[in-house]
Formats: sequence, C-alpha cells, structure tokens
Amino acid sequence: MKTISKTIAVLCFAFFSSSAWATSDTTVVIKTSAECGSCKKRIENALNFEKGVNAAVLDVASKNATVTFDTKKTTVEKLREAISNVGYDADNVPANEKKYNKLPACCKKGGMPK
Amino acid sequence: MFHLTKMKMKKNNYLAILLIPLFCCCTILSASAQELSGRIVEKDASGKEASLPMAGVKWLGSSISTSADENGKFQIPFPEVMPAKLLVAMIGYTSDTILFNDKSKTNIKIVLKNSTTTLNTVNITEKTLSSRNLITAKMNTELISQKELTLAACCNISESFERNASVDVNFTDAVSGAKQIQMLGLDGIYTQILYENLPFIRGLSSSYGLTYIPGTWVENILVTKGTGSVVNGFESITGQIQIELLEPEEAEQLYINGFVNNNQRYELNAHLAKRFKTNLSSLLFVHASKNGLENYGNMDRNNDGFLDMPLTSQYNLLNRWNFRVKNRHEGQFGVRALMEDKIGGHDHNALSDTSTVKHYGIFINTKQVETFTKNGWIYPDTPWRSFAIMTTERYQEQKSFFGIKKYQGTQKSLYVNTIYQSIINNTFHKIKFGGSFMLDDFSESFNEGLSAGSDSLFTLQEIVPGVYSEYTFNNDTNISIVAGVRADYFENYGLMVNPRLHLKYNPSKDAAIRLSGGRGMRTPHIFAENSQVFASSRQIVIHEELKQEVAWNYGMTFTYCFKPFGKEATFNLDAYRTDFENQVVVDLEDVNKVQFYNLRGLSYSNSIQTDITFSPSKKWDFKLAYKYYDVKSTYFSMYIPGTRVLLDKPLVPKDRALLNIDYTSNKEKWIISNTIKWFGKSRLPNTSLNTPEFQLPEHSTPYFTYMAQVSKKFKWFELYIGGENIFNYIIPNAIVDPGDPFGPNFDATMIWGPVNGRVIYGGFRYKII
Repeated sequence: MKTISKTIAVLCFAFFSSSAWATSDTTVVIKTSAECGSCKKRIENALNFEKGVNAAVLDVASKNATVTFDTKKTTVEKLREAISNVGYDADNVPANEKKYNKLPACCKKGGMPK
Repeated sequence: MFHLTKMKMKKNNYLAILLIPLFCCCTILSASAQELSGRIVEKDASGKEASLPMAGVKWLGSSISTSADENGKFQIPFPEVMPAKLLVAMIGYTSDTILFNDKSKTNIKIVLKNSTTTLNTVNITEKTLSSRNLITAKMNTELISQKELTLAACCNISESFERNASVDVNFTDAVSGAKQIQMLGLDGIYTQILYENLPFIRGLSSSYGLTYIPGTWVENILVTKGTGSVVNGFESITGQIQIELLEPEEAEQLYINGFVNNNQRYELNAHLAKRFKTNLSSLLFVHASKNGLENYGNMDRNNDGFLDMPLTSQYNLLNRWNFRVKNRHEGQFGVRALMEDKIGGHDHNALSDTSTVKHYGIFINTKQVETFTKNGWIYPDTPWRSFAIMTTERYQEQKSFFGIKKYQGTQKSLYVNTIYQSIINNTFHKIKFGGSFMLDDFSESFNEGLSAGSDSLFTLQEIVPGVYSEYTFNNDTNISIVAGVRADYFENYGLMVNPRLHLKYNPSKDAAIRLSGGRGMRTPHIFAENSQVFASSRQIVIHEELKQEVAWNYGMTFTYCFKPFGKEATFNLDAYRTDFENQVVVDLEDVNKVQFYNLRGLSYSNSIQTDITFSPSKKWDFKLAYKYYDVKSTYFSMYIPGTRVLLDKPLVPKDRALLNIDYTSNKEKWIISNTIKWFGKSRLPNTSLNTPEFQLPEHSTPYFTYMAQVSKKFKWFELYIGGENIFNYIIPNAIVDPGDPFGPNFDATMIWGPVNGRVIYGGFRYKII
C-alpha cells in the first residue's frame, strides 16, 4: 500500500509539473512589497507569463512569492526583475519607479491599513 | 569562512576556543556547522512521510535562499544575525516558518501540509475549484465564481446558470427572448434574487430582470437551495441567489469585454476602477449591447415568419463607491440606470403597426433607475459587535405591446434593512436582529385590444414593516445551527410570522449533513410575472381576488469529499420539498385562456438531485449531475366542469442530467469547457380545443444540448470562442399557428426546449490589473 501511494505521489508530481521528469526545476521564495489582492493578481500574472515559470503563488499576508521555474530557461534575477517591472520590490531589487508611481494608492507601500 | 568561524567562537562556544589551536580540522567542522541542512517531507493519507522535492527555502529578512533537491534535501548557510526565521514554501502546500534561536541545530526535518486538505486553501493553492459546494457553509450553498462565469458565453446573469445543475434556465416564449430561471422545478419568482444583499428582481423586473446585470460585472454568485436567511426578508421560498458584484478595491483598473455571435448580437462591457486614497474607491461599470441590425436583414432561421430573437438594444450603467472611516465605519453607495428596447414579432416594421392586425409586432421598453447605500459600523474594542443599515430606492417603468395587447406598468420601491450583530457570552453563539421596511407602489394598465374597451387599471401600494432575529450556534468543529424568525405586517393580510431553521453536522471533516426548513411568502404581480402569456391569443381570466403566496420548504443534503486514487472528488445528494399553503395558480389547460386563481387543494414540488465531481488531475474536472422533479398543482379540470384535478406542472421536464468536462492547462493559459445536458419529457398543456393541425402532443420529447468554449489567455488579454446548442436542436413548432398571430390558435409560450439553433460566439477580455 505504502509503495503504491508513493508511486502515485511520484506519478502525480510528474503529471502535475509541466515539464515532466525535468530535474532543472527549482523553487524560490521572493519577498515582495505586495499589499493587497490586486497586487497578488498583478505579480502572479507577471510571473506566470515569464518564460520558464511553471507556477507562481503570492501570499499577501507574508508578501512572499513562491515561484517554481526551470533553471535552464530563466534565473531568479530575471524573476525579480519581472516583479520590479510591475512596480514592486523583489528581495534586494527595488521596484521600477515609473511603474510604482502608476500603481493605485492602495497598492503602494503602506497603502492598506493594518 | 574564517570570519564566520570567528563569529561563532565569540558568540557561543568557549570550549571551541580552547580546541581551535589544537586541531585545524575543528575549523572545518565548525565551518560546516555554519550551514543548516534538512529534509522536507509531506505526510500522505496513511500518515507516512514522503519526500517533497523542489520546495523553496529562505531565511526571512535576508536574501539567503535555496531550494530542495528531488529528494527534498537542502543545505542553506545560516544568516549572520540570529535568531532568524526559516521559511519553507511550496506551491500547493501551506508554507511553514521555523524559528532558530542560534546555530546549534544543523539538521532538521520539515513537514509541509498539503494546502488542499486544510480549509484555508483559497490563497495558496493554485487551483481553486471554480464551482463548489462549500463543506463548511451553514446552508446548502454553491459558489459560482468569476472563473466559472467565463467558461460560458455568460452575457448576463440569465446565462450564468447554463453550466449549473441546481438552477434551470428556460426561454419563456418564442418571441421576446426573455429567459427565466427555475429552482426545485418552480418558477424564478419563488427564488429570492439579491445583489449585494439588496433586492434585485422583484415585481416589474420579474420577466426580464435577469438580463439586467452583465456577467462581467460579477465577482461571485452564491446559490442557496431551500429556504434562505430571515435577514434578507420573507420572500425566499425555493432558494436564494446572491449576486456579488466586483469590488472597487479588487477589480481590474480597466477591463473591456467585447462579444459577438452569429445571431447578430454585439456586446460591449467595460469597467473602470479608481482608488483615490486608501479609504475611498470607485468602480464604474458600463454595458451596451445590440441584438440584430435593422438594415442588415432579419434573423428568422426557422422560417416561421417571426424574428428568432427580438432586435434589442440595452444601455446599462452602474457606479459604486466604497469608503472607510478609520477602522470603525465602512460604507458603500451607488447608482444604477438601465434602458432597454426590444422589438420582435414579424419584423421591425411591425412597431409602427400596433393597432391593426396586419403585422404582429412586439415592443418592450424598460427603464430603471436605482440608488443604494450601505453603512456598517464595528466597535474596535468589541469586534464581534457591528451594526449595518442598507437602503435602496428604485423606479422602474415598462411599456409593452404584444400585437394589439398593451401592457404598461411603473413600480416605485423603497427598501431599508438594519442588522445588529453581536454574541451571547462567546463567539459560539451569535445573534443578529433588526428591522426592515419595504414600500412598493405599483401602477399597471392592461388592454387586450379585442373590444374597444378602455384600459384596465391596477394600482397597489404595499407597505411592509418587519422585524427579525436570527441566532447562530457554531461550535467551530462540527455543528452549526441557524434559527431565525421574522414577523412582517401587511395591510391586507395582517401580521405574518415566518420561522426558518438550518442545521449542519459534520460527521467527519470530509462530510456534511444539512437539514433545513422554513416558510416564505410573496405578493403576486401576475401581469409582470407572466408577461410571456401576452404572446398568445389566450384571454386573461382572473377568477377572484388573488391572495398572497405562502409556502413551506424542507430539505436535506449530504455532501461527501473523498479521494479515489488520491484525487479530489465530491459527492452530493439533496432532496427538497415545497408545499404551498396558497399559490396563485397559472392555468394554461384551456387553450383559449390563461386563468389565474387561488389554490384549492395540493400544490407541491419534490426534487432530488445528485451530483459527483471528480478532478483526476489539476488539469481535468468532471461533473455529472442528475435531477428528478415531481411538481404538481391543482388545476380546473378540463373534463368535468366545476371540479379540480392534480396535474403535473406543464413544461417542466421530470428528469434532467448534466455533464461538465473541463480542461485547464498549466497556469490557466488554455481553458476548454464542455457541457452536455439532457432533458427528459415534460407534460404539455392541454390543446385539445385547438383545430387538429394545431394540437400538441401530450408530452414533449427528450433532447440533448451541447455547449463548449475554448479560451486562451495572453499576458494582457484573453480570447474565447464557443458554441451553444451545438447539436442544433430546435423544438418543432415553437409557435403554434404562426401564420395567424391574431387568430384563436396562436401561442408562442409552449416552450420546452431551445427555440434558437446553434449559436457560435467569440469575444475578448482586455484588462489592466
């Protein structure tokens, strides 16, 4: 039974991950300056359309974006840049200023009441 | 490396200072201790640990991060400053944070929980089931999300239930293009339809109201089967549909949707969100649509001489504002306006001919203006206490011609509701109470056009003050009770008391059993609610003064989530019964008349629905549903005058089935949805008095419909194309005797299936998030 469930788990993983059997996948956590639900949409959308990204989820409470990507196709630096380009800080990469200024008030730093 | 070692020496270990000069290998040893290594695992269903590959690992507050290998193993250097928190995250799992006070622990095992097994899944899992029965909800409530709405054409609310098993959508007649919903086999008038907790479809908007909110404006639709909450009023009998519009804080800054189909329907929906400060935001919705172009030829694909869909133009606008005053007071206000013209019948020239019998024309003009306000206060020291007041003021007007029949009406409404919410001792016991006030001022006129008689006028002013109280018990584990009662005072009927009760029990965390029961009532407005009968030669006969409709509804539901082959699946079974104490019977059994009278005898609806959903992978979703209806009412007997007989409600199929098969590619870039529906036979009203060639069979024939859609998401926009009624099934003789619309046999209301053929549509959605 145990082996069966393990096999299933392995198969599931293979089935779910877009590049089945690829071993060049990795997951990183990037701290962002996201404030609210629309920031989440904006950042996830930007990451999901980056080449090489398999999945991206942002947790608004912790502001952490968890990104799974193929290291052969992209790098963490590029992902941080993608986040910066929609107006948010990404780890040590500051937000693109032009884009940040265009964000709605509630999406700017400290925009949501605590 | 040396520097790090020195740091460690200083900070902790005095013994190490002594040892360092002795063995250089110590340097190596303590250097390796500067690194944390670990293994990340998850627990499977049997509690056994399995490695979880590829999780992300990061020291919070620093840029030191890594990810685990295929076996879940990782190494990460300690940060300089201790204590520090280590974050472990993986998509589809609840992330975990572990506090390290110092660097003494160098090997660790971390167990991550699959976030689909916890209740708090919405924020973290990539995939949220687009339409699911909420196992934790206190009532049998199904959520239709925005994502689900985008899987079908969903021009407006009437179409948003096409893929839903609980709510049925039907055309009311073959000429006006109006659609109505049914729940539990009973007409939509017995379902309370609210938007943003305010009354939406009532009175004059009963026949066409569902087309007044475009699908793109909607965030969620909550469908509650069975009796609703007393907080929203006395009108819910078979269920409650709550439409939640997009919120200004969450909506896209700009959104444009264009839609076109081969029936010459052109539609434009847009919304614009603006957040002025952190405490003020606004959302403007606009809609414009046109069905058919006057100069482009008229659509009559079934060649019966009548336009398949009326030429329609609709302009619709809603502006809502949200504001917040510190953390104590939140408010909303808004305005909505709508204008719609429908021209149907023989062709658009018929409009200029409403008095003679050469052309049969239909003209329906509707106007609505509405304002609403909502204000809520919470008390920061006692956050469980809150007070809310909501109001809506509405004016609506309808002018219509059906051939030589003329109907006009206006309705002015005012609605005020207050809700005070608090707890009794602790948060297990919650109590809500409040008062409501409803005012409806109807003025209607009707002229059958047969004799030179003047218009029949009907006016009604109804003022209904009411109070309610609702107690909720929830032990936070497996039992919840919602017990409510309300009392409303009607000038014509006196004080009416309606109790309602909902129980929920979770025998395990994967199962829910619900019981509900309660009474609801409504004041009938037969012209507005049955305006489809104007599209027939039937004479309207009102036998007596019509009383308020009153019914009890009881139901039970069983929901079970299980994991065949380790995949998510849900099983649902529900049974409901509605029993009328009084009903306004709409009797179509005599082909020459539509008769309205108060119920004498039985009228009930029994409904059983079962459905199963299964997601074999993140990409595939299946849903199979079957529904059985037994809906009967007591009608005048056609055979023995003066007696009454219990008959099946006409035009309601006894059996139905639905199958949804949906495919979603990685990151939702491609979505393909398929829906196949099967409808069993339904009883048709008696047509034995018609001349033989215009008599209908006793029962309709079973049929299938199939709809499908493909959507493709790009970074800034989405494209979609789809088809409705792809099997191209059209009911034969949608209009009885279309050749003589002013003759005695004409009837466009005997509709038990699709009246339009295959529809192919396409559209785009452009958004700036």
